[in-house]
Amino acid sequence: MLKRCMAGSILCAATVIAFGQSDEISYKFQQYSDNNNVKVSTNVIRASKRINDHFSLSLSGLVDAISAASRRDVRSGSPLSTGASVSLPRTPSASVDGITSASPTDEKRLQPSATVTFTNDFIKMLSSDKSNDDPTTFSITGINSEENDYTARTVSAAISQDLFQRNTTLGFRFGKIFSRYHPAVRFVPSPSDAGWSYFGDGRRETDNLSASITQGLTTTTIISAVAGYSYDRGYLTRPYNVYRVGDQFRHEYLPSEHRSITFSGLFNQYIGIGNGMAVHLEYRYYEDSWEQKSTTVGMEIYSYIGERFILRPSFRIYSQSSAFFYRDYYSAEDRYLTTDLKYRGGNSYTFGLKGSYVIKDFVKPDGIGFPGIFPVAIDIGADYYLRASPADPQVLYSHYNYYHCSSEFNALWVQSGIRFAY
Amino acid sequence: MGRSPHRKDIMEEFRTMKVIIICIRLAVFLASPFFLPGCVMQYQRQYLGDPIMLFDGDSEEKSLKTHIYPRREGSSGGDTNAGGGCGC
Repeated sequence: MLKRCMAGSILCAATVIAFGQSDEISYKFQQYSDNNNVKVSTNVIRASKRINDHFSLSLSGLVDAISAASRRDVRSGSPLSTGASVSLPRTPSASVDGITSASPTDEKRLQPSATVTFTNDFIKMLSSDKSNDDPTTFSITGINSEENDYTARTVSAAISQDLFQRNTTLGFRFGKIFSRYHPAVRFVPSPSDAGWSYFGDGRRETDNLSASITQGLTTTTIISAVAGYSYDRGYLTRPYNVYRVGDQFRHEYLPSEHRSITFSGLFNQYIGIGNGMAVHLEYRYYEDSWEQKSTTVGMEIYSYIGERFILRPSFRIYSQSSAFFYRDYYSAEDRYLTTDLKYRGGNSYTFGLKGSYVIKDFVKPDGIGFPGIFPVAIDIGADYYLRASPADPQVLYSHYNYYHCSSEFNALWVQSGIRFAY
Repeated sequence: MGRSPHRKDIMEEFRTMKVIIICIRLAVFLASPFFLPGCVMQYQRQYLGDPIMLFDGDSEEKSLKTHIYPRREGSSGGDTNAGGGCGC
């Protein structure tokens, strides 16, 4: 706790120091809730400062508090033969936190991060044409995420190069994540778990690599394509997911390696109707070594209502196939097993609506707000998520014994934010 | 009834041609921006520079959403966002 308070204090102090003229500071709040009684409140504060013509620094801090009717320790229940007809237990007293055996779960996550960016126009330096404007940008990011039972440390580096008077941008990014579960002893899997023993102690490493190209096609059209590759190895599951096969209890067991590729296409079109509109279309294809394939299609429509208010309805369709190890019911012969329904095939839909009020031509008023800090944009939005191909209650019971889980999953999250400038 | 050696050769040649065509298409796609220099001059970018045309206009919003979806959907990873934390 002391460590977290110190980290928070350092972050706040650094934020204040970093803040200066023509710099920005923003705050975002998100409230997530779903029909499994999971609630997550997230607060993010970010400050960015341009140090000189080449360097800029961005600091952010994220704190979220999670409360949930947690998974009950399935081993405390009486054995149930697979396929038996039962009703889902829903009384609050049936839930026991995975870590402390208390109810409900109440965890906090603290996640400070820092990004240093260096920008320089090397092409102009090397070229005889001094009117050239194609900067190169390097950035390095570090993120440290801490929960009571999980830590993750991320480092990433990115480079982007503008070409043809900023008409084209090429980008490359590499990120590496080191994460680790440290659950209570009774939830530690046996040494025979290949994932847990991959690095010896439940660690996990992830490499992310991506390449992107952005191209202005016309005066009102811009497109982007992104190809990504990810490689995870180590402990890729959660220690609290325990499945019952007959009278045997088994930890969730997944392969210890996972490779995935993605291809995304983005298309933004400006439409000169009213005060201006823009349509954003997104397509994403995903495939991995666990035989999952998914397709995502998204659309956002931005419309100026007046000169300063932007309304943005959005819609997203997601469809995926099952992982090769997923079963609705497992037998003792199955090597891998999961209790996580996200590996089951299905579709989901997200509907969103967001409004932003942008103060473009802000004139500093006297005596309003904090000294020297003034709001420039305010936004509020909500998204509703619906899984359209729910599992039947019996499958849920076999996967989520004593866990409060609804067959028709839906979630709602509301975001609001404010951005300040000096 | 087996295939004749001649037919087998034709099939192998067809496969090779198919690979070459895919490689050429990929190369053309990757090189396409180099054939499109200056098609939108800087003074013509008032619409492309509008806040509603940005790919990453609200990075915090995108980051928070990127954290939600992988908890509910199996196809996580391979994206540009490098993040940390489970939050589950």
